[in-house]
Amino acid sequence: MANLLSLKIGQSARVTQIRAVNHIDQRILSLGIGADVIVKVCKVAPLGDPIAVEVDGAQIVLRKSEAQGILVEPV
Amino acid sequence: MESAVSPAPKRTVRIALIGNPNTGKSTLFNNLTGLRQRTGNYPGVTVSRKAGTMKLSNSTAELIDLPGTYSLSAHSPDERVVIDVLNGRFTEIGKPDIILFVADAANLRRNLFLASQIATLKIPMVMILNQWDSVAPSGQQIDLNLLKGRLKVPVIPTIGTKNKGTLEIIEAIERLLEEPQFLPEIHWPKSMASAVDHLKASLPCVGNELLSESETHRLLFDTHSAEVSRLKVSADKARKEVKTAREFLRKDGMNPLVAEAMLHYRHIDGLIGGVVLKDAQLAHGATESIDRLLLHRGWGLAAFVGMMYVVFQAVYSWAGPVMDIIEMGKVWIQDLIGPALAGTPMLQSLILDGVIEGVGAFLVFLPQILILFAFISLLEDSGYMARAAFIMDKLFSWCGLNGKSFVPLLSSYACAIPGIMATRTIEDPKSRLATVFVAPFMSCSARLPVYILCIGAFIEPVYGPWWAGFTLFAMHFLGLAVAVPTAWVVTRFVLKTKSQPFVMELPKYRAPRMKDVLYRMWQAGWEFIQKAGTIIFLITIIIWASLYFPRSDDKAADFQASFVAEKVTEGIGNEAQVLALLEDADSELAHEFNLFLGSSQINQSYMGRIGKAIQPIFEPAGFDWRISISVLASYPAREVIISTLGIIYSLGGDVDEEDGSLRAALKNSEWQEGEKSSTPIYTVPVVIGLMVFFALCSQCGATTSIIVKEAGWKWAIISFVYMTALAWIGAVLCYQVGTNLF
Ligand SMILES: Nc1nc2c(ncn2[C@@H]2O[C@H](COP(=O)(O)OP(=O)(O)OP(=O)(O)O)[C@@H](O)[C@H]2O)c(=O)[nH]1
Ligand SMILES: [Mg+2]
Repeated sequence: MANLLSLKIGQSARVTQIRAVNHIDQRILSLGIGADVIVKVCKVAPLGDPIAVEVDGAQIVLRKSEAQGILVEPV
Repeated sequence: MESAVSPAPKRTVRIALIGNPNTGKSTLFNNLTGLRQRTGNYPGVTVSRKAGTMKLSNSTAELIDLPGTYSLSAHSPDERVVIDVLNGRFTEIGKPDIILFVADAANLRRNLFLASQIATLKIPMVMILNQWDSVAPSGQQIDLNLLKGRLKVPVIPTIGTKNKGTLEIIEAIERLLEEPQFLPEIHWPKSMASAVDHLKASLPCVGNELLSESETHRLLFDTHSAEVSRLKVSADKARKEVKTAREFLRKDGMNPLVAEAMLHYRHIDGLIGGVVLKDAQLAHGATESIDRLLLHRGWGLAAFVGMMYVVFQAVYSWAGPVMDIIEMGKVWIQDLIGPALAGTPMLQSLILDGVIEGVGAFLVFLPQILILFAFISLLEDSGYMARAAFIMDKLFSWCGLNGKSFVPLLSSYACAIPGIMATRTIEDPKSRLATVFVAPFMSCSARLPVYILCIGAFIEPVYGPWWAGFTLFAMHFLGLAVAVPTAWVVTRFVLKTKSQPFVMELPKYRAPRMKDVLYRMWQAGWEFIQKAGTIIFLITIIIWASLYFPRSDDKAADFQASFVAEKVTEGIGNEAQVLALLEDADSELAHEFNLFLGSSQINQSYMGRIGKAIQPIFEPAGFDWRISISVLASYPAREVIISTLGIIYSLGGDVDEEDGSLRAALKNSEWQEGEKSSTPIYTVPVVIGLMVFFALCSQCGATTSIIVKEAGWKWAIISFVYMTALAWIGAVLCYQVGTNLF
């Protein structure tokens, strides 16, 4: 199954599931990244990690290790 | 008969500002109270609760500004502030009567998540849609009337930065005081009531109070809730009861770890369905274009390094002319007051050599402080600071810090105290402690005077302005270079807890407001001046006294006799002739005698004796007793070195007459005895070693006490010993390597 990291910059996708990593998944959820939400990977830091994901017009920074736990299907 | 029943004495109304980070709570707080809380375009500017008074039409109310948060869940006691205030858990501030919920209007859905959680508390609420000005540019439209109908509380669009909507907020508060209105609560499945009741019944808090409903939600839904520490029962018992309560939910087909967000967002989507119209095409233009450059692989990194370099260059070079003016002013005052006090030599010395010299030497660095704070404020308010955290996370993560450590560390370049306070925005306890531990290594503005003095006197004249700027940059970089491996060791070997991930919101770029920048500069400058008037002033007097006393006419006569005897053996003339030459104040001999007298007096003063006693410790770093004393005197606050050196050289009569600066005095300073006699004390290795010592040493009482507060005694002591040891080793290395290799 595809996860956030498999998206290209600028590509949108629908979140299908968030795999528990830590209590981080709770934080991610409260930031509005949850099932059925449309997300877009919009930036990668100059050094390659972390990335910024756009949700509802806000940009949320996540490390790649956490982004991997967010499963998506491209739309 | 008149009724004995008078209306109950009205207590002050309590109002709390709550919302996501960076939505404008502090800006509104300032508008409503007329106070000046710090604001900034970075999530997490406010780190602790602040109270102020606001006017209503017939009364006043207490307004509380709180740190921003995305949710009520708390994994550490610091994160608990908001939920604790809401439940009236602080004895000093009761439960709020009204909540001013500050939402970022351009991001309504996400912001309402916290509001929906808060609705459980059943406190009347005003829904403020701040940053209303950014709704249209983000390609959205909000149907206000529809929203008002749905939320069932006053909904007020505001623009905090333009003070728009402030009156409407006050009106809404008054309406709510007449007739409370509440945000519609989420409809929980029936099993929730059983779970909540079970927890309330089985888990009493310390002091036998009951958990509130919102607190039971935290225990139910959070994996490591900080509420546990408030319970009367053991953590094991709490875990067991929470497990039982979660079973109620599981039986109802819910996964307790994701149910909360799912249900709240479903509730919110019902509330705002059809309210927000999006025009996807328009979505953020400017921010995207700027980021394309500033977060670019190559350009982005270059811009980051370039910006940091410009800051340090500017601090060094722009301040020069202003410093010269302040220095001239100091000499001018001394010349003005000096003659008037000629009759009382001791008072004259106290005022001229002690107070004016000591405090003046310190105040000279005011321009640097102002420039540094102007830059920090500009970087923060524009939104770049959050980008810097984004860029730096990779570099920081391998050593156990994270991107959010960047802002505390950069603030520590101004002063470690706000820097250490700012670590509260770091959720991961391990990264947070490591950041607290390494923050004092960042080269704070109190070190700046030492660098400027040393570089201005010894580097710039010989190697030119380019190397001067470079040295200053290198000194500021040194702290970071030491901090990174230190953090690595601390997080790898000392703190054994599991590290936690990094999540942060990137704010949009904004044009900084001149007013905010100027205010930040003024505040920093004023604090600096106050320091000059209090602690520096006091220490200055103590140091002057310990350098001046013991002193007596007998001693002076003895010194004169030995000086004369020496001149006689040198064959200048017989005793009477030498004495006659000394009578003439303008003669070269009289001048030489004054220097001799000054340094002899200092040599045998209390401070001089202590200096000689401790000098062997600093011998390997090439420090003479005067530097050793100044280093010792700087432990309460490192800036004191400047005043101390100022007084030592001024009392010693060494300060050059034409150029009254300390800089010149240091240049002329030579070893008086021993094998190095008559060679300069301040060679380049000594100067670099001295700067390195100040870069690394823990010389700030205020910082040590804030570490005690944020991390405990143990860490404060470790930090003090570690930094001092490192500083000494650094200075010795510089001197030994520099002297023996070059
Ligand atoms: N465009 C715009 N900017 C605003 C408005 N209100 C506040 N700001 C800016 O938004 C930024 C954040 O404001 P603060 O008042 O510090 O926000 P806060 O909610 O207290 O933030 P934290 O303390 O970090 O939670 C600052 O740069 C403000 O100048 C507004 O109505 N419109
Ligand atoms: Mg604030």
